[in-house]
Amino acid sequence: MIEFRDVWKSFKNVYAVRGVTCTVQDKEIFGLLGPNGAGKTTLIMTMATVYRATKGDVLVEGHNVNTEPERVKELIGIAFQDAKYDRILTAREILQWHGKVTGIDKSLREKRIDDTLAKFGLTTEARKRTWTLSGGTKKKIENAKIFVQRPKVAVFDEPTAYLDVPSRLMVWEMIDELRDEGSTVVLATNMMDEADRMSDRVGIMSKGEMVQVGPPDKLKGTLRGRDVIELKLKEPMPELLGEVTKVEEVHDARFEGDVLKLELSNGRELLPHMINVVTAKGGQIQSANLKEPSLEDVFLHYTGTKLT
Amino acid sequence: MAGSNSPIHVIERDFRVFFADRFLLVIMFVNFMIDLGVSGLSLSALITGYGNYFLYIAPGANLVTATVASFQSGRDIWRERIIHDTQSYLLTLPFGKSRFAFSRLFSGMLRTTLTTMPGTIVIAVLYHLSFPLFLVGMLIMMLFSGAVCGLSVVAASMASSLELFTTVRSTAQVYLSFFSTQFYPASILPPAVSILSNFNPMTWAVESFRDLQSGVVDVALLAPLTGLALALLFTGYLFYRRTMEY
Repeated sequence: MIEFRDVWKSFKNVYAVRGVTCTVQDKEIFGLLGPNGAGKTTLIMTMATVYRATKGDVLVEGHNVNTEPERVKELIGIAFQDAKYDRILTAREILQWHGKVTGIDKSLREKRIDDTLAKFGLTTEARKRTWTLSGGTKKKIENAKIFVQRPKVAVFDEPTAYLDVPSRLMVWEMIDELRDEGSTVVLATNMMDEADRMSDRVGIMSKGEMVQVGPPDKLKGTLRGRDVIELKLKEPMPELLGEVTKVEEVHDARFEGDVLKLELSNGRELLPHMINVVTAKGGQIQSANLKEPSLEDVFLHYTGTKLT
Repeated sequence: MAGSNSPIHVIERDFRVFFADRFLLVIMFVNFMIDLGVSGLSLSALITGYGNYFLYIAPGANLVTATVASFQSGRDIWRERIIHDTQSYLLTLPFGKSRFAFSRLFSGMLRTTLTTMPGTIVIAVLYHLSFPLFLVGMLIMMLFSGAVCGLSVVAASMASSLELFTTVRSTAQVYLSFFSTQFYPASILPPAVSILSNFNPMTWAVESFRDLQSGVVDVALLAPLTGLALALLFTGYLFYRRTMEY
């Protein structure tokens, strides 16, 4: 478990993290969601003992990062947003050294390195000096450090940045495996689909503050009443507006061209009923579309800004 | 899973990085041989009255190589801090910050000593040194390397640009070479330079090495060299350690 207790971190009187309090449970994937500059990396670096909190405490598995930094460092592994290793070395050398330093026995280390490189399709490229490799390959090697280490607390900062779709899916699968083996995973990302798909819970950060924490579905549920049904009709029928607004859950109805837009609660359940109401009054529906709140809407709602 | 915080791993990494570029090491040795061969032989033909100038200049050539190799430690640290930000990764690994900083300085000193070992062996052969005196020669190289490594890490910890770092390096090289007895005896140096040369680690190292030819281990020169090496290594540690606090 990771506990952030009223954590503040400033650099020359500019606060990058402001009073963050939250808990990451054992064996969960905790998505840390926020735009660049929100304070995600600073929070991670504080947890990793690299930065010292200006105020507050971080406890990793019960160990305070300020008083027991070496104990904490034995528990965590971080895959950074940008590749951070010696580029004059080969991928295999980098992974071997990382595994050795983090205490993995030689035979297990070599097996994990071989497996990870094979999964990423890097068995051949692992012999090249990493400065010669593409951005995506460098990123894979950065992630591979953690898949070789398999730490108790695994932190991934934008793990799929620069990666193509198959590689992205592979990384997601490997992170899932890591969690299934018992690791706690902190996943810092500014990709909504990644946070939504991967996270058991999400923490939304904005301007250094943790503005909301919860499971993605629950957070989306906080925007109940913001479902939208769009019914494309053969032609606009303003007289329908009076009929549809008789339904209690409908908060707003309007025509945009020949599209009838309904803002309502429980859109998924009410969609058949609303179709019936419209067709009963002679409306000829050509297509129907239901929009439920996305994590992006949640983010927009709580921070007032778009993520990208 | 508990990590291993052995300084050996830090040293291993520094060696891997340093020896990854074998071309650099070859060039360093070639430079030493050119310096010794061309400069030493040419100047020894010009300069008479001071014994065999070729043998006189030999330790200095090796110490110049040591200076270049030692500054590579600072350059590595500077790159980790400023260019690649590898330092933040290294600080997440299971090493105590102090132990890590000391290990970096020690590995810098060690790898320079090893880099210059071929040169030290060449000089030991030229000087007909016994094995114990060869070991003293290695110790001299190690102490000098430690001093320069410490200085290079101080520079790396303070410099915000590569230009600044390389300027400090050049200045140090000029001071070490031209304000010392690396090329000429103190007796023929200009008076002010002669005085300055007494406080130059190059003088202490090069004269200690020359004394070995006569079978003399000059503690009066080794003592200040040891003191300075320890002081600069510790200063390097303090400055480097300070860069680890965010």
